[in-house]
Amino acid sequence: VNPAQPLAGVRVLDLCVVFSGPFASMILADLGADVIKVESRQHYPDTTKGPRRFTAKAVSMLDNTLKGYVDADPGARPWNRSARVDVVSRNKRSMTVDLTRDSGREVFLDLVERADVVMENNAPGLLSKLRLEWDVLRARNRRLILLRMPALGLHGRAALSGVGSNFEAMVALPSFRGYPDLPARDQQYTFRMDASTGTGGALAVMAALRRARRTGEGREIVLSQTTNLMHQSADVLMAAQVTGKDPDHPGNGHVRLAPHGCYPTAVEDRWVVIACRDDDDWSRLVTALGEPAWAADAELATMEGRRRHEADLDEHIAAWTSEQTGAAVEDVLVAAGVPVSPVLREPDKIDHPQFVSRDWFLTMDHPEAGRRRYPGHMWRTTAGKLRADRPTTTLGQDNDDIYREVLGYDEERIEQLRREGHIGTRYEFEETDDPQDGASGGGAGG
Amino acid sequence: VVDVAVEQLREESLLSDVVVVEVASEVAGPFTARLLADLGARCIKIEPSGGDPTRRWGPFRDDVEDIDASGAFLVWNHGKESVVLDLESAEGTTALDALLAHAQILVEDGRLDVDELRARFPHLVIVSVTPFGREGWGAGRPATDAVAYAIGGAMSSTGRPDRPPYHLGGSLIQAFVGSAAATAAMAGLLAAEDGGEGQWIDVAWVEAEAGSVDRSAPYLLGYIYSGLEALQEPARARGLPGGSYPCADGNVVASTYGWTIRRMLDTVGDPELDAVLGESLGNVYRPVGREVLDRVLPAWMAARTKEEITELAQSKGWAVTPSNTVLEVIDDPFLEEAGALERVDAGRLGELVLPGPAFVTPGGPRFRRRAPNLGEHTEIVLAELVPDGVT
Repeated sequence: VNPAQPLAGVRVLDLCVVFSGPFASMILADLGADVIKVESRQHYPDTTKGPRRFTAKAVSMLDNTLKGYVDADPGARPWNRSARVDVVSRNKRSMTVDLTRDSGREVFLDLVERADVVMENNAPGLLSKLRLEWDVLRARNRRLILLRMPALGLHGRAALSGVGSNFEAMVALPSFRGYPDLPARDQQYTFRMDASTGTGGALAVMAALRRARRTGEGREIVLSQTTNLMHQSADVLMAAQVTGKDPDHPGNGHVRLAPHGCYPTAVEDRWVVIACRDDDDWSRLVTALGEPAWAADAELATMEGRRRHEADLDEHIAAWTSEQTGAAVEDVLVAAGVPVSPVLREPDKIDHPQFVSRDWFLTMDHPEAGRRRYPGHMWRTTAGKLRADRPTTTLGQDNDDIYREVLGYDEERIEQLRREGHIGTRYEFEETDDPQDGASGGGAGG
Repeated sequence: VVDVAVEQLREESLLSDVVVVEVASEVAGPFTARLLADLGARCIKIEPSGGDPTRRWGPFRDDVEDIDASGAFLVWNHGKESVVLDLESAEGTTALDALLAHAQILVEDGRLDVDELRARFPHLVIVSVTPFGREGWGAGRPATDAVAYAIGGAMSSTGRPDRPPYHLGGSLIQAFVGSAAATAAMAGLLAAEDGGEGQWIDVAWVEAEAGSVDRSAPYLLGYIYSGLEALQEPARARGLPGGSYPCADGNVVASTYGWTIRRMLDTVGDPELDAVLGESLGNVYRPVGREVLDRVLPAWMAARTKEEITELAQSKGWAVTPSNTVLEVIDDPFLEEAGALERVDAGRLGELVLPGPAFVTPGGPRFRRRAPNLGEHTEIVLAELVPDGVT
């Protein structure tokens, strides 16, 4: 037993879509859980797996569209070459079954008897529509934990549909970031809900598993993704009430700190972040800058004074940074003990000493991409390695193992389910749209 | 037959039998411990005599500094007990040792000699939460949210192409890191209860962020796969009809793409819009459709409130929601209905609206009590847990 993977032996049925729920279940898989993606040949989840095809025109015109596909080529089956899919599929298994039919529903309920956790983040009404509500699942397995993760709520007016950007705006996240001169509607989305649901969902499941180990009783958990996210911005919610006013868009300033900014460097469109947490950081910065005359003003010795002169400070600091590279600024200020970093682009991260020195990237073999580096785990532990068995999972890839070994079905039943269309490794639309084998690398389809 | 003991246990808080000791300040470490306290763990926060710096961050009622009524301290520390110890002194470290003997989890932010503690407290799950991790290139370096975002996050692709990228605001990076660290602590606890051994979990802010979705890790892997990096996009690059719209009493956000444009047409019910878009769903970028859309949709939005628009759109399955300012959050009817808002007694800060339970289940997380005053529990905790009453 590897104590870095304490969920070995825990089986999770993963009905999650898009990023948030799949991220939560991936954290459990990293911790050793047997996470089985319950997928369907009949329903292509385009919000999870992206467009089914790319027209030749899209491929030729929009570089950005191809960002995230192996070798910038979506191929004939883009969902098998997609970073957005793989980044939440690590260490999972996949089976196919059509839950909308009674025969498929029965398979799922058999699985429930052999599982510890079911998790889902679908539209609020989906489990009812499938007749897979809590009472039904619990009747099959008293130890079962059901984690439901609606965007906001499951019932009544709270049963709203939408994506992260909807609900991040509902709790005002874009209202306290961005350029001060632009109105709220022109500020960029924040993209924080998926991440917070991932950790929040995994935490909830583990707390419930711990209890189930003692009592033999599972439970239903409803995690409102929006409410869970709000805990991460509760300081802003509190501050508005105490001060009686909404925060401004701070640009690269800070509600409490000065100087605090994202400054230009000698290289066009390369930037460096510098922040002073307190008066000590400020005096270290002044020393590092060579004690310039403008910094000697006594008013600048306190945070309050520096905040009053924020614009001037930014101008002086920018004049200093814009004569150097970001790396040079970093060297000087790291030596001085001031918080600093160039704004890294993705290529910078690959070789960055932070990630290299801690061996953070994972290396895994991908069926279409070959051997690649992968973003690493969110923490490390002396107990051993977190799991990094496979970088992705493809549709129905583990059908054989799951139908035979987990479910224990005999060949006759498996053959029947295959004939009925439940079991397979291709989407049904692939058979109607494109009769020949759409193996990868074929360039843009359609 | 109902087993009374089992019934009682079930109704208790999920972590009511867990003791967490926290030697951390500011946001990431304290939020790690607070999430465990929300679940019912007893969390003993060790503070120096001057207190956690967030006690001075405010904001304060009427702008009057009060170390026992700082808003920032409240948010990241409610539900805990505060014990003041001088960890530079022998008495302080002796008392800490005594507390750790009772604890299952220690959360620290880089100040403790963890190797030494592990040797003496092998049962402990020790969670270090620091900007760059406790080993490696950046160990010991300071950071802020913005610095960590610049390294681990997708900051380079924020903002407009002709301007600097910008940071997130609030404490969103550190708070997310805290949630990851609490999850890690929970995993460590399960392992310790299984195998009897603790472990040292090393959480680096920049790595937790870099390994997360839906921007940081996807953009990083996207680059590894495609060789194309994420770029700043021009405003509204995604185009209409999605995005933020002003309405009669604020703003709404519409998520509209592909075939869901049909739902928008059903909601708005405008014959002209139907005529130009109805037969070419998904192709709103045609100039004629775009011109009509730019005229009709903003006018339709402007004539209605956030609540009206949300209800109409959602009844047709169109994903439109209010886009609130922070103060508007408190009055949002949909958040209210969802139980996302909870009126709490914040002690000298008065009554405040804070987020409701992060998830709902018997024994689940809740706001338990206001944040502790500095050293409020020093005497009682030391008398209870420290043999010979070291003080």
